Amino acid sequence: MRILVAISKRVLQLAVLSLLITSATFLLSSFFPGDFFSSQELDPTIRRQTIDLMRQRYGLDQPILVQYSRWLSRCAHLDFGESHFYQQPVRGVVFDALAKTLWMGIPALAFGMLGGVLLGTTHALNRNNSFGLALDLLATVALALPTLLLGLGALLIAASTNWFPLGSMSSFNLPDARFATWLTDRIHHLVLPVACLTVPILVYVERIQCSATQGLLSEPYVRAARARGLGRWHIFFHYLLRPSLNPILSTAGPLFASILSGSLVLEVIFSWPGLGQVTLNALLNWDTALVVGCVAGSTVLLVTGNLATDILLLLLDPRIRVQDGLI
Amino acid sequence: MRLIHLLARLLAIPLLLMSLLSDFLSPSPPDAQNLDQFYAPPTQMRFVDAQGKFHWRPFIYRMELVDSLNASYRERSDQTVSLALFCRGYQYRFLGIVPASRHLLAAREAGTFHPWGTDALGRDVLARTIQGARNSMMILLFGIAIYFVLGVTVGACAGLAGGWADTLLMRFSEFVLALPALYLVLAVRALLPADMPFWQTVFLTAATLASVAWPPLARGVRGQILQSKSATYVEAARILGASRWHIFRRHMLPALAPYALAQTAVASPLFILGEVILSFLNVGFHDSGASWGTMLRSLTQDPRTLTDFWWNLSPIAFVFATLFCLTGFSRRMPTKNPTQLA
Repeated sequence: MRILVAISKRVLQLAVLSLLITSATFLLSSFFPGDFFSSQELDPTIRRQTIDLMRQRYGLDQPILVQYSRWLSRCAHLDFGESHFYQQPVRGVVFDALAKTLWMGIPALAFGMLGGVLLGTTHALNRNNSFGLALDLLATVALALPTLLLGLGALLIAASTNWFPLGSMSSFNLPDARFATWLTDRIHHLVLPVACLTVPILVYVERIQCSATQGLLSEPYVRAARARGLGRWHIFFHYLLRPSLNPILSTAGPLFASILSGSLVLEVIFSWPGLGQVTLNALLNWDTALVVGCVAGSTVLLVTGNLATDILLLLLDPRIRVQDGLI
Repeated sequence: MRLIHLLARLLAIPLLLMSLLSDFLSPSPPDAQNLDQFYAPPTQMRFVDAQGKFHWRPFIYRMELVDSLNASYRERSDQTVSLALFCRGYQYRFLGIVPASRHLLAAREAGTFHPWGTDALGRDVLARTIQGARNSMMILLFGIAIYFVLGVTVGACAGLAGGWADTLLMRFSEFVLALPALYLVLAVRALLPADMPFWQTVFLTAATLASVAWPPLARGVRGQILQSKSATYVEAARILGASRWHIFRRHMLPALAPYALAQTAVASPLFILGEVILSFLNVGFHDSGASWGTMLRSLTQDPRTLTDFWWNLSPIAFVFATLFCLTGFSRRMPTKNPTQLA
């Protein structure tokens, strides 16, 4: 019951945060020098009156506070306005784009976390031999490899070997519409972007996991388990893994954020029509409603990530429940 | 591992030299287009001519466009252009102040010597890479300065004032931390006009990046201030009648300086990477003022640059080297994380 209260408190915080951020974006974007129809003013085939009528229709001629209050009241009905560029409701466009970003983000997060935890633990157990040193070197080098460089490197591989497609989400001339063909094609397109998105996450998780496990190795209960003659794997699974997951899980939220910014660059490199590309286009086209929608989408994703982490931590680590006064 | 970090830090010397000397090192101006020399391969420096005769003075053969569809070039072995050290070339300002026209190594004839080849518009890749290094260093310098001042000021205000000001500032920093940083930077950048003078671009890009990066520093500084507030030496100074400003300047600031500097070093790669990403997304430096980001963007625009015209890949190596160098600096600094103290 008390956990439920704590969770609902955090959900409320989420709502307030999302409202603040979207409002800030909306008000910020009102300082844009121009609006969506500004570029059409340059087109001699469109009459001035038409543009004025369009502005009136979308309420762009109103003062910003009126626009804001209208937008806010529509948001209360979960209607986030219409994108001028796509000529579709913002909600649909953002959901579509978000889903496409998650196609890339969720596998990357899963692989990165899994690989990072495994590598980090192995690293901590092999601190003083050549394997540990090799991992150290690799991690140092990989720290200086942001997704941008990895993406361009992957593009280089794709261009010079022809093993992978150069970009986009799927081939546009699939032989048949069977699910299996579609899925293999999608996975084929996913391999490079997901790999590029995974590496930074993996390195980050590996470092945290390594230091967390190292700290645990000197704990008395681990030494006691060793003294009792328990096997390596037994100690690993029953004594090391669960307590060491605590710091990892608390970084999962920020990692979710890094997926959003990492995927933005990768989406441009691999022409993946995800949230990043949509945001970028919306910004360059003065599509204010869509910009706000995209920022809202990314914020909600981010805050939801943080929330999920908090809940997971509550369930996994009894010590935090004590800290929060829940027990 | 020590060796790696030393190596990383030593990389700073060539990178700094490159960005300081910039125009002196580049054989041709970074924004001079030559559409007859697009995607020209790196010019080969020669000592031995077609007759097998050795020359002490290096020379190059003039390149001639053979097939403009595939951008293939042929060396005219009958037309040589000699190279010279400290050769007279285009006009520039050394270190941005002293007017000069000497270049380290350049051809007697302008627009013929491209040691690292040319890009799609026939601009010299070496010159553009060097200018990119200079622009990145500017952003780094300004960014770090703004980051440091902003973070220390906010953190010190919060820590010293306490009460509602502290709560407000810390809530605000949490708010900024929770924002999707890159999206925010994009939104802020999109507010600014697309075409700005060089210095305005440098300053505003750096400020934009700093405006989303400051919260960790501010929170850490606040923690340090809170810690030193209860330290005995501060208490002693207060009893001796020292003013608040005096205590802050003479006792607290020196105590938190090592932490603040270390945190700045940790954050420094953000500014390099941020500038490169912004320019890559077409919202940073304009294409004519070369930056590593704008150079990298051209790689995604023409896939042939990845395979056939590989010399255009050089910014990748430089971005990596710079980031590697900066991680080398940040790893040597004290790693204790004082944010947990707050």
